[in-house]
Amino acid sequence: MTGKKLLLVSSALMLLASCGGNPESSTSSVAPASTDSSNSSTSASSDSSEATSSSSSTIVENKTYTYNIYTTVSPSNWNELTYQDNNDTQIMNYLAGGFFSYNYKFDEKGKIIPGQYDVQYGAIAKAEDVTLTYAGEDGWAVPLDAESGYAYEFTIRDDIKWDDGTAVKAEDFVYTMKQQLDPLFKNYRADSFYNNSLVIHNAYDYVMQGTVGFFGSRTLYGKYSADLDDKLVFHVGAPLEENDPYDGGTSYIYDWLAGNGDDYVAAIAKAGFAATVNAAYGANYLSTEAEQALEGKTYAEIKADATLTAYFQEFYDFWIEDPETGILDFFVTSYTFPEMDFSKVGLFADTVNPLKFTLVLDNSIQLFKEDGKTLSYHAAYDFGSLPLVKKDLYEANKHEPAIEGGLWTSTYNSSVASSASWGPYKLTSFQAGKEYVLERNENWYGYNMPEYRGQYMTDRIVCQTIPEYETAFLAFRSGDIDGIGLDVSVAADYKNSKRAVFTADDYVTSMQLQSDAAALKGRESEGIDKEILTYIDFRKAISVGFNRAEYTNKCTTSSLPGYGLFNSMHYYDVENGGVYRNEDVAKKTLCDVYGVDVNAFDSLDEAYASLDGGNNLTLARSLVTSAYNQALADEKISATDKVELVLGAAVDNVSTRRTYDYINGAIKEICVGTPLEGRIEVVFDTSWGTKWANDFRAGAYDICTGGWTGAAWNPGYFLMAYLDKAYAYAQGWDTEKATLTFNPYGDGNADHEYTMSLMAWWRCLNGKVKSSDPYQENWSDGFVDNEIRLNIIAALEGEILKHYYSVPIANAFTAELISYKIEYASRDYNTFMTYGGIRYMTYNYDDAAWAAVKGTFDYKL
Amino acid sequence: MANNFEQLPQEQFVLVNENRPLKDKELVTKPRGFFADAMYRFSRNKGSIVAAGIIGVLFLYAIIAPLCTPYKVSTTDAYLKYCLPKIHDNPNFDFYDGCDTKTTSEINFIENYAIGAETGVNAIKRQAYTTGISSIGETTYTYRLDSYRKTGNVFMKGVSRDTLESIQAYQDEMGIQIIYPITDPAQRPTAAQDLKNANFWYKTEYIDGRTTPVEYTINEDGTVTYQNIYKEYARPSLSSVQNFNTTSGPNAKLTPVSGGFTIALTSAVEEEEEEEVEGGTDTSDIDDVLEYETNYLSMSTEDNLNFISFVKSADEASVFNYDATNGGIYAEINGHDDPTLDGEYLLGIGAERGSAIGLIKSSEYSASDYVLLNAFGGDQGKTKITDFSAEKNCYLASVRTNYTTTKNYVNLNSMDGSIGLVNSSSASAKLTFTAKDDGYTIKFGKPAKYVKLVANGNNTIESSATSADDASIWHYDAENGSMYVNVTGHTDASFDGAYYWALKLDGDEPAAVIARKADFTANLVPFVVYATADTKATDLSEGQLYLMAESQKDNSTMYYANGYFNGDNYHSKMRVEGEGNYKYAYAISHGSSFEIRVNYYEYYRYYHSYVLKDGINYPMFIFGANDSGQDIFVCLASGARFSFILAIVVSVVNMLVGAIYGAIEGYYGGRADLIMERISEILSAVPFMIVITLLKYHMGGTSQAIILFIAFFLTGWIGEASLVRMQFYRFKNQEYVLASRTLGARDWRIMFKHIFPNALGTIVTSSVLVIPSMIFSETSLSYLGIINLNTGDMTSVGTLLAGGQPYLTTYPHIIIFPAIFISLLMLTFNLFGNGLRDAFNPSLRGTED
Amino acid sequence: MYMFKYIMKRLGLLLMTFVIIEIICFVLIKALPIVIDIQVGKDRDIIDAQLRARGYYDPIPVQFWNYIVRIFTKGDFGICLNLPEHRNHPVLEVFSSKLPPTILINIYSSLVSVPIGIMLGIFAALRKNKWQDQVISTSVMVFISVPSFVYAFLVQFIFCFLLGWFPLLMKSGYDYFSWPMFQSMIPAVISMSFGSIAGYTRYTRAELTEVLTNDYMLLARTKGLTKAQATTRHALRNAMVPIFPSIIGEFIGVLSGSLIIEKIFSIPGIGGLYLTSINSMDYDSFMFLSGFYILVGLLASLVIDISYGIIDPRIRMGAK
Repeated sequence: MTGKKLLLVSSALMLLASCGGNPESSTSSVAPASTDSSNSSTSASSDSSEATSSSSSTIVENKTYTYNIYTTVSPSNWNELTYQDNNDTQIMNYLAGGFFSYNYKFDEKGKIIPGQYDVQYGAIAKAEDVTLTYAGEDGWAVPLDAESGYAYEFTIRDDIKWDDGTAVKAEDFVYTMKQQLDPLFKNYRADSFYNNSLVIHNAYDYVMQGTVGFFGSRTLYGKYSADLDDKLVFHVGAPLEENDPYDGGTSYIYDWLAGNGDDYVAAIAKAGFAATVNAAYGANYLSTEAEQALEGKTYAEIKADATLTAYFQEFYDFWIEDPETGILDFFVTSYTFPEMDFSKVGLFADTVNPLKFTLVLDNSIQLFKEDGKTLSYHAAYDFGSLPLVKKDLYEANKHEPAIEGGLWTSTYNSSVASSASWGPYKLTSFQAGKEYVLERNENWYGYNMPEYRGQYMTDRIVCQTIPEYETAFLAFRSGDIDGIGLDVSVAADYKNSKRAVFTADDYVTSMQLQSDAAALKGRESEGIDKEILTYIDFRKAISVGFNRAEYTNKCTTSSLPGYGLFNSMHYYDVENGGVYRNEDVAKKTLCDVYGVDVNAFDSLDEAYASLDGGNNLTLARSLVTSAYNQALADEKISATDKVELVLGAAVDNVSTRRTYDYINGAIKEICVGTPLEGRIEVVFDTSWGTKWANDFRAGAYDICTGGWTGAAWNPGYFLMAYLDKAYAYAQGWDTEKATLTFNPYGDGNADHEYTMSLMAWWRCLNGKVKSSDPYQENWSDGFVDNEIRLNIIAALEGEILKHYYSVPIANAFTAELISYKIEYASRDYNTFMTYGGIRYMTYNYDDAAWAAVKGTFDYKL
Repeated sequence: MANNFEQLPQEQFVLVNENRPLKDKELVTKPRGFFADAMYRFSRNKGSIVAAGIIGVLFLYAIIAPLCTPYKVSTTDAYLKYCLPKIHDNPNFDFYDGCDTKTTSEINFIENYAIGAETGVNAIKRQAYTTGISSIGETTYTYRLDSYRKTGNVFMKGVSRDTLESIQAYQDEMGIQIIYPITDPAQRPTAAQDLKNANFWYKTEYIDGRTTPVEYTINEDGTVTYQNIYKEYARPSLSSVQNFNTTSGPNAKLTPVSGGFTIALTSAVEEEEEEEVEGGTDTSDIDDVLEYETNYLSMSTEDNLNFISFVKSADEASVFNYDATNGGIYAEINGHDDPTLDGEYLLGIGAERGSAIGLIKSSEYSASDYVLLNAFGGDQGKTKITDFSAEKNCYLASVRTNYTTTKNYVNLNSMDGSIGLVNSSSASAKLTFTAKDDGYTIKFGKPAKYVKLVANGNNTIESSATSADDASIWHYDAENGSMYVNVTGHTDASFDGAYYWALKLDGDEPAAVIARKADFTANLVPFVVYATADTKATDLSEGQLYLMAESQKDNSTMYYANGYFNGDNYHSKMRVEGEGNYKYAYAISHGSSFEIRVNYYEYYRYYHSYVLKDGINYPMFIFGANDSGQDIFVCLASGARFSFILAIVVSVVNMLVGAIYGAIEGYYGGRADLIMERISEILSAVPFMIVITLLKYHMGGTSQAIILFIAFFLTGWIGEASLVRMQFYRFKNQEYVLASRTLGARDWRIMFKHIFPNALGTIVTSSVLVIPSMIFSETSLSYLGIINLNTGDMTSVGTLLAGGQPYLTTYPHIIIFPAIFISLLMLTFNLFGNGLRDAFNPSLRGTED
Repeated sequence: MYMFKYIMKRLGLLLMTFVIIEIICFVLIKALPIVIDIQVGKDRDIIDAQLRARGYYDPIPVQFWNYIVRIFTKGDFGICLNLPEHRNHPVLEVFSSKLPPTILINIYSSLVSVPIGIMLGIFAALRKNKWQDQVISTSVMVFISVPSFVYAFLVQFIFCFLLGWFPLLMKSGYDYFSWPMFQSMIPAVISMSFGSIAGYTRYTRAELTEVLTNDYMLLARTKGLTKAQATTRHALRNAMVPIFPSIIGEFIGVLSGSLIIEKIFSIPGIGGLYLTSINSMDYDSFMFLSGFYILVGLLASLVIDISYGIIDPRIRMGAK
C-alpha cells in the first residue's frame, strides 16, 4: 500500500473538494473506513470484527460481501511505472502488497484509540540499517560521517506469490526498478526515485544516460568556484536555436534552468572532462577576430590575458557580470550523461540469499525510531513499497517507438490479460470506461499473517463508471452503490444523517497576486496603472482587509476562513500528533502577518482568536493610502491613473464568477476613504483555459485563485510549492536573493543567528544543502529535534505570507454518505488509517440480504 | 344504358349566352395579392392563430416581466438559494407558498423548530408538525418547511460601527428585531460542518461526528423549550458604558455636596475647553469624539432593574459617599415603590460575570464576587503579588489618567532606564519578579535589564544592573501594597532607610518616584504593584476621579447594543431580557469591528428596503430562485429576450445567405452546383460541436455570444441552402418554368418570380423553425459546458435549462419553468410555421373554402 | 450510364473534400499550445522527453507527413496520449471496442422510431386539422422541444428508479445480444427514439399534406382509385422524395451516437469521445475521429443525392 504520496495538484476551482467525488478518488490509499458503532441497531453488530485482538469473527463460507463503488472517470492503466493521475491509482492500490503498513492502536478492551497509530511489517520480514558499510565508500554518495538512514538491507517474506502462484524473489524488485529507470522508456514515474523523498543512488544518471543536458551558469553561478576555470573552455557553436534539440527556444531554456538545474558541477567534476562554453549566443554578439581569438581558450586563460578579456567583454556585455562576485552571470554549457550499467544504481539483490536486496540512497530517511528497532512513520510512508511487475507479462507488453529515435512504451497492467497482482485482490474483469471487478487474491501472503486475521471481509469489489452525478445519486438511493459524495445542493438535507461523514481537507485556497514587476509594467496602458501591486503595503491591505468569514459564507458552502499556508490537517511532528497550526509559534506568525498586536490581549490565544473576528478595514485603508503615496513619489502612478487588475480563471461558471464578484467588491471596499476610491476595478477573464496556471506564472494577468494540496506530514517540504521557482506562483519574487535573519534555536546566543536566502533556508530544512549555500546545516527530519524545525517552518511561512504574494482565504472540507450495508472501522478521521479503509470495513448485510432490503432506506434520517 | 349521343336533335340545344361576355359572376371583389391571399389562408387555420397568440404572449412576457418585479438578473444572494416558487405569504393557505412538506429525523426537526422558537420567524410553517415511525424504528417528524425562513440566523463578522447603528435605527423605527443575543463562543458547536451555523442558540454536544441538541424538552402541547447559550452580563448600570479603552469616553468630576459628592460625567471635548489654561489634555488622537452633554449619575432601582441612569442636573443626582472600610463609593436609595429595594448600593464591577459596572447592595457585597470601583486602577485579573510561587511576568497596575490615551501602564521604561509613563503595554516593559534572599529582584523586558535603586541624593532608580546579583532587592509592604528597598551605607547616613516606589499624581501626568515612607503625603499614593480587590485608596482629594472601564475578561470588550449613545437607555421591548441580575450581550467587538447574530429573513428585508432602497420589501420569487439566488422569473425573461434576438438575427442572416446560395446552386446546376456543393459540403462535414469548441479555444477572450453567433452562422445557412437547392431542382424542370423561359424571361426573373415562391413555403417554415432549434442547441451546448452565456447581468434560456438539470430530483422548480417556456415556444413556432407554410404554398391557392 | 459517371465524379470530389478538411483540422488542433501540467516533484525532462519522442516539437507540416506515412505504411493511427480513460491504448482498438454499443442503441432506436414516426405522420396528414392531428402534433412538439437530457433523466427516474422495470445503467460486459443487456438498453432506446419519432411524424405530415393537395391526387381519385389506394400509390411515393434521404441520413447518423444519452445511461459508446479528445488535446484520437465523422458525413450526403435520382426520375441532381 503506497502511503500518502506527495500529490501537489494546482487547481482553479474553489469547489474542488465538494463536487461529487466518490470515496475512492480522494487519497491514494482507500479512504472509506469508519464504524458508527453507537447506533447501528442492525443485525451484524460491528463491534465483534473491530478488534483484531479478539477472536476473528468466523466468516460463514457461503456468504459473499461485495463492495460496490463508482467513479466518474475510469482508470486507463494501473502500471506503477507509468500511471499519470489519481484515477489510475484506484486499481493499482489493490494489486500491490506493501513492505510496511500503518495500523490502529487498540486499548485493552479492543477499542480503537482515536488519533493513535503504529507501523507494522508487511511484505518485509527483516530490515537492517547498513549505512556504515557504505559510508564514505566511493561509487556511493553516503557521507563519511553518516551512521544511519542511507542504506538498508531488506529481506522479503518467503510466501509472497503472484496471483497465479509464481513466487516473488528479491530479484523481481531489482528487475522492476531496472524497467522503471530504463532510459529507452523514460517512464512517467521514473522521477519519483530521484526527485521525491526516496532518492536512489544514481537513479537520475541511469535514466538520463546518453541524453545531452543543457545547463547554464545561472545554476553554476550558484555553485561557481574558481577551480572550474580551467575546465570551462570557450567554444563558438552555432546559434542555440538550430542545433538545440529542445527547440522550445530561449524561453524554454530559461524555465528549465530556473527550474531544476541542480548539481551539474558535481557531474562535470565527476565526469572529469571540459564542458564547452557554448557561446552560441555569442555568435550573434562577437566580431570574427574575437571569435577566433577566444576559440578553445579556457576561462582561466581568458581572465589572464587582457586582450582576450576585452574580446570576452564584447560577449560579456550581453551577459552581465555579477557585481559582488565578479562571476560571469550566464553562459551555456552542454553535458552528455555517460553510459551506465544498472549495477551502479543503489538497488541490487543479494547474491547468496534470494530473498534479500539492498537499497542505497543519496538522502537519509530514518526507517527506525531512535531505539533502532521500532519502525518510524517513514517506514510505511517513504518505504511503503517499491514497484513490482511480473517479468514475463511485462516483457510481452513492450512496444517499440512510434517514430525512430522515439521512446518505447508499455501496456502492462492496462487490461485483464496484461495484469498481475501480489496484493489482497486481483483484477478479474475490466471494460474501459464502463466497469472493473476485483476479487480476492487467495495467494496473497497477508491472508496467513496474524496482523490481518479477521480483516478484508470484502470478497468482491465492483466499480462502475457513472459520469452523471444525478444518476449516481439514484444508484446510491436504490442501493446499487455503497458510497457517494454529498453535493452542495443536497448537503443541507443530509447534514444530520447517521450515514453522513465529514472530513476536513488539507487543501488551502489562496488568492495569488502577480509578482512579476516587469510583466505588470509591460501590461500598463494609457491612464491604467498596475504597478501599485508591486507595493507590499497594497498587497498587505488586500490580505488584512479581506473579510474571510463573509467570503466563505457567500462564495462557498463547505469552507471555513483560512489564514495560513497550513490548516488543521498539517502535522510538523506526525509521530506524536503535533499539529502545526496549534503551536504557539505558528499562532504568533499569523498574528504578526495580520497586524494583531499580541500584547494588546491578555494571552496569545486570545490574540489568535481575534484573528477570526473579521477584517481590519481601518488598517487596510491606511496601508492603501501609504502604498499610493509611495507609488506617487516614485512616479509609478499619476494622480489621475485608474488601477485595473485582471482576475483570471480556467472556466467561467457560476462559482468562479461569484468569487470574482466578491473579490472585486472587497478590493473596492478596502479602497473606500483612500486616494484610490472609485479609481480601482477588477476585470474577469477566462480566456486562459487549462493553461491558467502557467500563464499566471508567465505574468499574463494579475490575480488568480488556486493552491496546493498534499504533503500533509511534511510542511517543511511543502513550502517548496511557494519558494521554488519551478512551482511558485510568485515568479517575480527571487527567493534565492530574499534573505531572512533568524535564530531557529531561540536561545539568544549570537552564533545561532543565521542570515541566508529563503531557498537556502529551505534546502537546509530538507537536507538538500548546496555547496554554494552560506551554511552547510542539515536540519532535515530526524537530524534535529522537531522544535527547531517548527521554528524554521513558522519563520518561513511568516516570510512567505509577509510578502503577501499568496493570500490564504479558505479551507475546504468534503462530505459523503455511506450505505447501510457497510460500516467504517471508526468515524474519527485518523491521519494514517483515514476511516480504516477496505482492510477494516465490515458489513451489516451480505449480498443476498442486501438485495432483499436495499431500496428501502431513507438516508435523510 | 350507354350514353348514346349521335341522334340528339338540334332543338334540344339552347343557346345560353349570345351577346354578353361569358362571365359567371360579376367580379366585385378586388383580386387578392399573393400576400393578402396568404394572410387570408393563414387566418383560416385556427391552430396557427392560437400559436401566433401564444407567441405574442411569450414576447410580451419577455419584455414586460422585468418591469413588474423589483428583482434584476444581477441580484444574487448567498443564503436565499433554491427558494421555492411563492406568490403569497398567507399562513393558512398551503399552495404556492414557498414551502414543501418534509419528513425528517428528530435532530433536523429540533433544529428547524428552534429557529421559530427564538425569533418568531418560523422555519416550520405555523410551527405545526405530525410524528411517525421510520423504517428503522425511529420517530420521524413531518412538517412544512419554509424555504425562505429556513436559513434562520447567521453570524455577521467585520460589521462596522455605523452598520450596527443603522440596524438599530431600523429596529427602533420599524419595531422589527434583527439582532439577536450573541451566543457564547465557548459553547458553540465544534463540528466542522456546523462551525458557521448561527442557529445553535441552545445547548448541543458533538456525538459521532454530528452536532446533537441536548437538554431540550418537548412539552405536551407540542412546543419545545431549549436551554440557551447566550453570552451573559452583569446588569448594565452605567447606561453609557462603552469600550473605554478606545480613545473617547466620559470623564467624571466629583462635586462635593452635603454629606458626600455627586459624580458628573462630562464628554472629553467639553472638558477640554474648561481646562484650556492648564495645558489641557492631549485630544489630538481622539478619532471619533462622541457628542453628549454633561449629565449626572443617579442610582435608581426602578422595577428591580438596579442600574445607573443619567439625569440632567446635579440636584437630581444621587449623593455618593465613600466607604473607607471597603474602599467603595455608595449611595442611599429610598422611597422605591418596592420598599425592600431601598438601601445602600455600592458602585462596583461584576468581575467574574464579565465586565459590567453594576450596583450591588452593600449587604450583598462579598469581596470575591465584586471588585469595588476604586479611585485608581481596576482589576486586571492578574495574579496578586503576594503569591509568588514562581518567577512570573506581570504588568503593573494600569492607572487611568485622563481618557485621552489608550490604556496606560505605568511601567519601567526600558529605553532610557527611567521609570516613566509608557503609553502602551509593550512587551518590553514586562516585569519579572524573581525571589531572592527575603525579597525580589525585578527584571524587565528586552534587552533584559535589572532595576538597581541608587538613592544618591536625588533618589533616582537606575536600571543599569545587568544581572540579578547586582540588582537591588525589593520588598513588598503588605500594609500599603507597594515595593520598597532598604538603602544602607549611603555616604550621607540620613539617606539610609526604606525607599518606596510611589506615584506622584499632579494634574494629569503621573510620575513614578522614590519616596521614603515618612514623606508619604496626601498626593503621594503608594505605587500599587497590583490593583487587588483589597487595594486601598488613602483618600479622595478633590482632584480628578478617573472611572475605570471594565476589565477585559475574555479579551472581547463587551459593547452594549442597547443604550449606547445620547445617554438614553435603549429599552426596546424586543430585547430578550436575562433572568435575575444578568443580561445578554448583543455583539462581540474584535478591535475595530463587531460580530453580531442576525435573523437573515428580516436582515434581507432591512438591507433591501432600508439600505439599498431597491424596492424589494419581501423576498418572493414567483418562479422560485436558482442555485445562485437569482429570481428565475426575471432570468427567464432576460434569457428569452437574449435568445429571441440571437435567434431572429441568425435565422434572418441564414435565410438570406442560404436562399441566395441555394437558388444559384439549384438553378444553374452543372459545374457551379458542383463547386458550391463542395464548399457547403466542406463546411457541413465538420460536426457542429467541434466547430464551436475549436472556435472557443482559438478565440479566447471574446464574449461567448459572438462565438455562438459565428458558430451558428458558419454552418447554419447550409441547411437553408440545400433546402432551397432541392426545391429548385424539383421545380426547375416544371412545365411552367419551361414556358416562361420560352417567353423570354431572363434567369433572374424565373428564379425569383417563378421558382422561388414555391420554395418560399419551406424557407419560411425552416427559418421560423430555426429559432426554437437554435435555442435548443444552445441548451445542449450549455449543458455540455462548451459555452456559458451567464455573464453578470445577462443569461440565456439554454443556460437556465442546463443550470436546472443537476437539481431535477432535489429542486425541480428550477428547470420546470424554463422547460415549459421552451416547450410552449417550440409548439407555437411549429404550429405557426405550419400555418405559414400552408399560407405561402401557392399550390394551395383556392382550396381553402 | 449517366448515374455511374456521376457517381464516379462525386467520389473523386468527395476524396478531395475529405483531404482538405483533414488538413484544416490538423492545423487547427496543432496550432493550439501544448498543455504541460506542472506538478511538484515532476521532472520536466521526463515530460519533454516523452513529448519529443512523439514528435510534438517538430514543425506542423513535418508532423502531418509523419502522421500520414505512419497510417499508410504501418496502419498505426497512434496512441491516445492523454484521453482520460484510455491513456496509452491504441486509437483503433479504443474506437472499435466502443463502437458496438453506440451502433446497437442507434439501430434499435431507428427501428423503433422510423416506422412509428411515419405511421403517425401519415395518420396525422390524413386527419389534417381534425382533433387527432392536433393531439399528435402537440404531443410531438412537446417531445421535440423538451431538451433530451431532461426527458432522458425523467425516463431513467420513472422507469428505472421508481418503477424499477429496467436497471438504472446499461449492463457492462460484451454480451451485446443477451436478454439482460437488451433490457438494460431499453430506457436508452426509448429516450433516443423520442426525438426521431417526433421528427419523422412532423416531417411525414408536412410532406404528405403538401403532396395530397397536388392535382394528380385529384386525377387519381377521378380515375376511380379508392382513397387508400390513391394515398399509398401516389401520395406516399411522392412524399417519400424528402423523407427517404432523411431515413438514410438517420442510419448514417447511427454511427455518431448521442453524447447526452450515453452520459446519462453510462453507455461506453463513442458519443462523447470526439469532444473529450479535443478538450484533452489528444491529437491522434482527434484526427482519427475527425477523419471518421467527416468521411461518414460526406458519404451520407452522396447517398442522399443519389437516392433523389432513384425515387424521382425527373430529378437529376446536378443536371443543367
